[in-house]
Amino acid sequence: MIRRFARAFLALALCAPAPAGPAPSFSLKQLDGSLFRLDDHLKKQVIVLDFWATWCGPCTKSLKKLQELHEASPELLVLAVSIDDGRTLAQVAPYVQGRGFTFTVLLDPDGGVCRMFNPEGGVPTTVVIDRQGGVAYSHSGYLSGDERALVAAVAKLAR
Amino acid sequence: MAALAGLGARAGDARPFSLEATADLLFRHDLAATAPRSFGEPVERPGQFRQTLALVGGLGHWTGGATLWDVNFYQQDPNITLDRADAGLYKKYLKYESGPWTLQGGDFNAMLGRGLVLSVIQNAALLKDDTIDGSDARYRGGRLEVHGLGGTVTSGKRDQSWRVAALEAIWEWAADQRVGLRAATVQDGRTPAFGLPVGLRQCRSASLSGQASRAVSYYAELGWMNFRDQQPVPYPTPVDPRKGTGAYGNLSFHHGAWFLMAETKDYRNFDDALNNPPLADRDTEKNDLYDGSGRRVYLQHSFRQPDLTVFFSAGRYREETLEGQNVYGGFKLQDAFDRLDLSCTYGLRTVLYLEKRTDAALAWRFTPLWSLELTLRDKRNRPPGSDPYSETDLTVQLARSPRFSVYLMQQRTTVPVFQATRLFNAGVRVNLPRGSYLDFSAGRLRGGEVCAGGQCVVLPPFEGWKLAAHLRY
Repeated sequence: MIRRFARAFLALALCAPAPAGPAPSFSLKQLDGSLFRLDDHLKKQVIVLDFWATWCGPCTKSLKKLQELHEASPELLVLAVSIDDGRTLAQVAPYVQGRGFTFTVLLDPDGGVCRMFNPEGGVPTTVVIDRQGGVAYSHSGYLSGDERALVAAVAKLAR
Repeated sequence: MAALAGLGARAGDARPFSLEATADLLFRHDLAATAPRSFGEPVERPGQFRQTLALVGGLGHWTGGATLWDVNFYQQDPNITLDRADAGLYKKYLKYESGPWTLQGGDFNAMLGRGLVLSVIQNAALLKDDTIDGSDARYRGGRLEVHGLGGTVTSGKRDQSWRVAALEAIWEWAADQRVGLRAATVQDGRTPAFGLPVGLRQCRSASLSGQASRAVSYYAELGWMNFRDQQPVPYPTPVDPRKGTGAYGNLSFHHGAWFLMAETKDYRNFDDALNNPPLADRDTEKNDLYDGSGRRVYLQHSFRQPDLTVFFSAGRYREETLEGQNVYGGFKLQDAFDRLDLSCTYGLRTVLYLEKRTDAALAWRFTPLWSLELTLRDKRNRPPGSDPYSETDLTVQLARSPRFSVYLMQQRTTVPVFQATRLFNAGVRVNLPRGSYLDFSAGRLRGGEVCAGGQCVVLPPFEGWKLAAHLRY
């Protein structure tokens, strides 16, 4: 079993990354309690998804850059998906409203949607979905300057 | 992989076939498996070679996922009894989503309301990764949402299991005004050898939430719990588990740059092992369960130029019979002079004993792509009648976006009776396209939250070296 699995792993490690596959479908609640369905927006516009949490330091910087992108490119649909669970869910509103973020905030308290895009479940994780509904860009973690790659990926899709 | 995705694509289908694979490869060599341990270090520290392969796929309204894994504990402490090699299917799920319906089977996480009644979620701080193995159905129509689930939960160590069933209904009775009703049963299955009360727990809760006006929002939830003995323990337990109550509420006011929130919680004998009542503060991860209360006020003001957020929190808490305060405040400054990030939080907590905590970070960008970060975390406890216990972490990180980051960390621990110890850890993370990365670290870690490479993760104590590859396809 282990040998078979090792062979499968090696085969995966050696094969070239595939082009973007379609984004998995999901529906989540927004901060005001209303429901957001990804299917209602897919293939209509480029979508930027950012998974974050109030307790994650690098997420603050990532969200701030996301807000700049949201203001500079209003044609994009920017979704910030919080994975805060019941213990810190009450912190999400002050976090977002206090900083003046105006993008759409979704709540994923059990982290299920986050793991559909990043099985490791780490935050921040940023994903861009193109107009064909495919995952065109994916990045985990945030280092100062990472937004450049995100902006470049979005600009490429806008062409 | 590309060919597979292409073969599955169906012309005219709203959602063609998709498949995404994530492969994780970890080699962890613990030098200290036979060396003397210092205070606080765990017994179980095997060297291991672990592979996991997570697959997520979709077709039409269907989404599915599975994680395959195998592990080889090539080096073990004589006291542990882990199988040398093991492999299997770790997590799997199949989900159908169409219109107002979502149906799911397999392994999944779930949280009802704020977690008073049922909460089976990952908790990295407590190293918990439990899931419900069963089925889940959710209906979300105009003003009504109904959610039902059932299945089995098995703890990570496989020494405990529970059978659960739950139902939740939320009705929006007026614009932005919601009422919620929840019920759950938790039946003990397998229990640890040392013996805990075994039986059936029934939990119920009711909640009200919404916007009182444009500036004021609220959430209130009340819960009740009954316990029926099925195998009473032959000795007195510290609390009577038969009846419990739980309450959580918050009221917040937001106007311009100001945010004010009042929070309260009150739990009495309120623990069914699968609930996770909300905190009313930060850093009370292990103190929120079954018997405690808290009230606090949180105030925040944000300035735009410069980008500065100032916050303050003050609260009073009870944990069983002990009472005390938790007060903290601080600021976060970002992008000053387009180069500098600076943050600092200082807090005092006196619930169990005097605890002082400082959390400071400074980041300087040489160019938009090169940055240097310095992070200091300091925690000092003074238990009654004992010498102080302190933990000080200092991390220096040099990063070049988006390619790599290199860090060096020093952890200094001063424990009563024992001498102070200094642990050093260094690592490098190289980011690859499409969210893949390679990670190498070496040295000694006390364990806890480690922020490096642009991500914060909770790690167990460690001494040795570790190589991890995270590859996405």
